[in-house]
Amino acid sequence: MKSLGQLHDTTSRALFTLAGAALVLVVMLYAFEVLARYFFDAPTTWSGEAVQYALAVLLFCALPDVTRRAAHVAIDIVPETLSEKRRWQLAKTNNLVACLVTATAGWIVGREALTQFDRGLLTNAAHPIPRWWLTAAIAIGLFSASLHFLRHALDKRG
Amino acid sequence: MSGFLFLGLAIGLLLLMLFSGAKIFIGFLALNLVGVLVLIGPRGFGLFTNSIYETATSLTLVTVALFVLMGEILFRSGTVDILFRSVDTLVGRLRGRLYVVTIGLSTVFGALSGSAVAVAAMLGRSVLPLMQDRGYDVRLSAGTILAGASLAPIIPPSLLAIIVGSLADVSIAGLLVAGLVPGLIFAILTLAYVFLRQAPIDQQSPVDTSQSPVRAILNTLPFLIVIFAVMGLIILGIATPSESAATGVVGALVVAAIFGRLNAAMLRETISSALTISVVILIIVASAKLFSQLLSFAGATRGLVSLITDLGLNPELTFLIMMLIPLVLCMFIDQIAFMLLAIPIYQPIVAALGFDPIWFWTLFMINLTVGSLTPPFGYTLFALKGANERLSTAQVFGAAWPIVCIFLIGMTVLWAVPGLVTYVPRLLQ
Repeated sequence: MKSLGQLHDTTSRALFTLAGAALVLVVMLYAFEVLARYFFDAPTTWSGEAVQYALAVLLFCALPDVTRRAAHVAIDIVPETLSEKRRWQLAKTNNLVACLVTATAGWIVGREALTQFDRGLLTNAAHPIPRWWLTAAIAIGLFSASLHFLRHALDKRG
Repeated sequence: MSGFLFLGLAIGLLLLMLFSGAKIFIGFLALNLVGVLVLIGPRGFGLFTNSIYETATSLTLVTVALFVLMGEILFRSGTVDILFRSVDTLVGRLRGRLYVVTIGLSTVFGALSGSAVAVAAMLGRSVLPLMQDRGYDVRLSAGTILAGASLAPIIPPSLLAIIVGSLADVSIAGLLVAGLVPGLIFAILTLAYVFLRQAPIDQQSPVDTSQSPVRAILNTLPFLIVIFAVMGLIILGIATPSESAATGVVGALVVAAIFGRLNAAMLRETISSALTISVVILIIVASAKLFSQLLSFAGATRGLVSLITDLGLNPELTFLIMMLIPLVLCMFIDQIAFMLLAIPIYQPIVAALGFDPIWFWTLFMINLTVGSLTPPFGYTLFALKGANERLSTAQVFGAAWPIVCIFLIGMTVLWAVPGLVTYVPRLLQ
């Protein structure tokens, strides 16, 4: 069980690194586009699309590790007024709800990715790619985040 | 289900989850999942997926990640310390010198970073301890920092402007530049407040003489590269707002390189931090996107517009009510969460009443900023308190109220003279 958890953490960290690479790629693509268009009068037809795809990768590949580190924003006005035991119980409940919500969202998006795969659906772009590639990345990010929420809920240290 | 019933239940469910400490994005995701199931059923799953997909591939929202990265490069490379010392030298010996340094510095930071929390934390760590050591009035010191930090979401580039623009379907470039004059007005009003408080002549705070004024001016010049790479390129029509955020990142890297602060370790740390902040913001936006469509689907949007227009209130009174709601609610809930909830409801009303969208949304954005510096729950307050251990909560709250009043006075001026907001955006057209 512990090694499975470690594998999950390692995968999340690897995906976070991939998301970092996507962020760097976005900067490079846009800088290149401005140079190409303004100085060489040669705008590309692909850089905007590549940036769009990179954002999806950036967001949903980084999501599991951000969830692992419990870095998401919450409003803790009410929990802070509770006793430590009650606060811990509330946090556990919130993590279980979050697990359920992200798993359901992941399941819905994953199902849609399968439909897109079956239909051979492409992105609506000048240089289309299979749409399920991105939808599947979103589903994986949500499922992995769901697993992290479950692990937070089961964590005895709270 | 009637539109109003849906709206009431939706807001109730969301507030219940948010106040119980659920992650904000989970609150919105749960709301939309329940909304889709209740209003449309499994047929709405495609709509649910598309809403996340569209946000995750939105060129507008890339800008958020890029501006965060730009700010992180400047802060983590330590180049802002150089800027601080230069502004300190240039301000020279004045009444309440460090107050003026703080406001001047915040105005420049506002043009380099779009986040009030980042600026409050940075000034709380760097300038506030100096002011405390030198016997400055703690409340006035904390107040100038809160005011300065609150300029960041107003002076371009502004993360709030990008999110508001993308949700309200308003020109992002227009909204970005619209904050320029209001930001300067708020800076001037805060300066006037400092001088009215009869700040004592600063005897204990020696002027930084380790560099000459000429050297200080030279040290500030590289930062113009960043400002030009962002605002200059938008105004000249060379880059779109999203592209200008990327050129701003390149500009920030150039500045770090000029000062010899560019290295691999700093870059790794910066990318990791920028990525985390961006994901925390963008996942909330992606989770909330569907809410506006569900409101329309349930008929709540149409119902609300009819209700407001049938009330027969004059536009000024309606405007006042529309501004009071965020001001009060943002004292209790996160500004991004509120924005995502309110914009789909406000957008059709703004159109129906014929308000200038740039003017209205700029004031709305400033209002959110005021909400986040209003006790007891404003985010900016907690950022400052968290950055400075010697500051008590009572001192932070006491410092915030005069600044809230200053911003409300400024907003009244902007309401009375809309041209102060709309003049610069018109130049872009």
